[in-house]
Amino acid sequence: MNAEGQRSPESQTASRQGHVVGTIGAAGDDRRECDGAALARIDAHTTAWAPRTIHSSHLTDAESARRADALVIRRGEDRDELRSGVSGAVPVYVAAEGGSAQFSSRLSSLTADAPVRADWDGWAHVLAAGAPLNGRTTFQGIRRLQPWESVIAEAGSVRFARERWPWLDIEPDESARIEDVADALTAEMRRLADDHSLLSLLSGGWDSRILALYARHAATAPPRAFTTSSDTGIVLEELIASQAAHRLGLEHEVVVPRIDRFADDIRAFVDAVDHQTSYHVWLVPLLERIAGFDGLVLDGLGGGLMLGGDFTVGGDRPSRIVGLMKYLNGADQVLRPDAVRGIGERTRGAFDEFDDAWPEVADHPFEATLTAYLNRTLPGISQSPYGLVAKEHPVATPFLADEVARAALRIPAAAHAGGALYPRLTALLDPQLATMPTAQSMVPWPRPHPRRITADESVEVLRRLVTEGPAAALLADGLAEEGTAHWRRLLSRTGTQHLLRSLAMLNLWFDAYGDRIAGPGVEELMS
Amino acid sequence: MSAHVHVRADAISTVAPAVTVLVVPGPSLGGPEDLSPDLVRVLIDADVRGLQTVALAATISDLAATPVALARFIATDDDDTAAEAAARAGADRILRVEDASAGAVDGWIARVPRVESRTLRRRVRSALRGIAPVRWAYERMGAR
Repeated sequence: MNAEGQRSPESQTASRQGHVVGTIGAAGDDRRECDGAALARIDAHTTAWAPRTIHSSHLTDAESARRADALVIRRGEDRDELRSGVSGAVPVYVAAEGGSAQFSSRLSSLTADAPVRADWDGWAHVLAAGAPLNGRTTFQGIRRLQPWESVIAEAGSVRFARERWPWLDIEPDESARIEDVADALTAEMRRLADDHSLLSLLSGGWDSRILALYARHAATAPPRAFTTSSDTGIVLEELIASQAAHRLGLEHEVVVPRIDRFADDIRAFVDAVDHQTSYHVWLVPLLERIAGFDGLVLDGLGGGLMLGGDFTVGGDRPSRIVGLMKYLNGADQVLRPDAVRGIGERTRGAFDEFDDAWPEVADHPFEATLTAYLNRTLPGISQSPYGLVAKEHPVATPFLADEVARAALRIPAAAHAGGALYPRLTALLDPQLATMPTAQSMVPWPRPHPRRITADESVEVLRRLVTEGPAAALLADGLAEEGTAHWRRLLSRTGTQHLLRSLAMLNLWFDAYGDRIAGPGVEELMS
Repeated sequence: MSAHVHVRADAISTVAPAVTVLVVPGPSLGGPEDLSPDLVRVLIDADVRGLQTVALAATISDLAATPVALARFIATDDDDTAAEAAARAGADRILRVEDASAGAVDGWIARVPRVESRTLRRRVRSALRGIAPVRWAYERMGAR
């Protein structure tokens, strides 16, 4: 038995939380995994890891484990193999060198003490689209596995291979029913509740409301619910969540972020997600609040795409791809012109690469859904549950459970439009809850109050983070000297705020890696 | 004389059209500890209509009450509470007043700013931005 076998428990449960790290294709003691995390054994040569307990029903074979979104590690005499899960939402990073490859669910485990080089394409994607695309990371030489991808170490070399992704073969079917989604979601919740108590991150929207409802229905003990603000300037999110929690009979707590912790929140977030996206900084205070609570966190990742019809509106594919690069709208107010050009070119190139790598997507009935899923949900949004939340808690994303996603995508795309499936799925268990408006549907326009990030204290935090470091070289002329009112205006708009947050993250990346950074600098982004 | 019409959020079931500010006393001043369904309904109405909400806090412990924490402004007559409230919500959202009790609101309510979106400048700008060519020009200008 090798080191893997000695470390792995024979029970049919994987780690409750934690991360996996290991090597394939190496000899002797280097050929191991799982420092600090338990693995679930499938057979003598095969183990599986996920950021939560893998239910015993999913440990019958490698395919079942992958469909439960586990990373499967298979070792043979002459061949080692990693196989990613079906959704691809759980980050697994791989650094291949020669005949071996290190892998980890935390990117920082692969960069510890080693020289690093920026992947400037990856950074361009962060700025323009939210996160590195096509399996890139912000580091050269480190890839994030795509859905249903394999890494094979054999005969002194390592290769990446992607089999046909099973979700591409789901056929829309006029006879598919919303009840099928409900059944799949209920079954998934029961499996999760078998092994965990459940925690709900309840917002004012549909996804978390539906998860809380089905968790309430399927679990013996109701989930405990927590809400924070996504910084819209108003408090409808918290208030509507409170209404939903009351309707569901859940114990509920609202967590209000502190302005004086903003700088710490940014640092904690970008560290937790290994500097791959700056999307969900506002979630940090909530995670700190629940740090002492035992339980699996239910996250609504993917609900908007699988059920809600998000990103399906709008003419043709090219215009939707431009929409995925929306953070470049107004970029000339933040970035110098040659940086806007360079970042745009690199990101447009990534979408060309995507078309080549995923030719099956372009004429798929769910083309818009899958394009947004693979280019926004996976690289960026997934970091919220599987980077940040998974740091301290087991986490699950039930809308991306294989059977739930399949049931949802079997319903023809037109029926998803405008979020029409949400109230139908809700009404199956609670017709009254289905009529409760979401926060998004009630938001007044124009925005009545400024966002928290535009407070003078927050502005100064971001100004310091953006202007003190190499990323400052990318700024538009005169921006660093502009007054607070000007920065406040930039931070009040989605696109320019995103760019400033991401530039702050770039400087924090330089801070974190310091003199270990080799290779060209930010000037690479200017064309 | 104040242009504001204020009312205590935990004492009403619907918000009258003339109201511009909802006042939420902290628990030490007789206000609610938590969000009751009735209070939530009133606060949702206020948020949708873009009204101001002002919490009254006499002690630091008031700041922990959810209805206080969700208010747009926090009025306090206590130095320590003011400092802690500023650390939590930002200095711009703190009103230092002589008397934070519910009966003394008339004395300072005029200092509560009008909601930003209801100022004439914002309303004119919003109306103009609804016209496509003007919106295009705004975006080109960076809406400075």
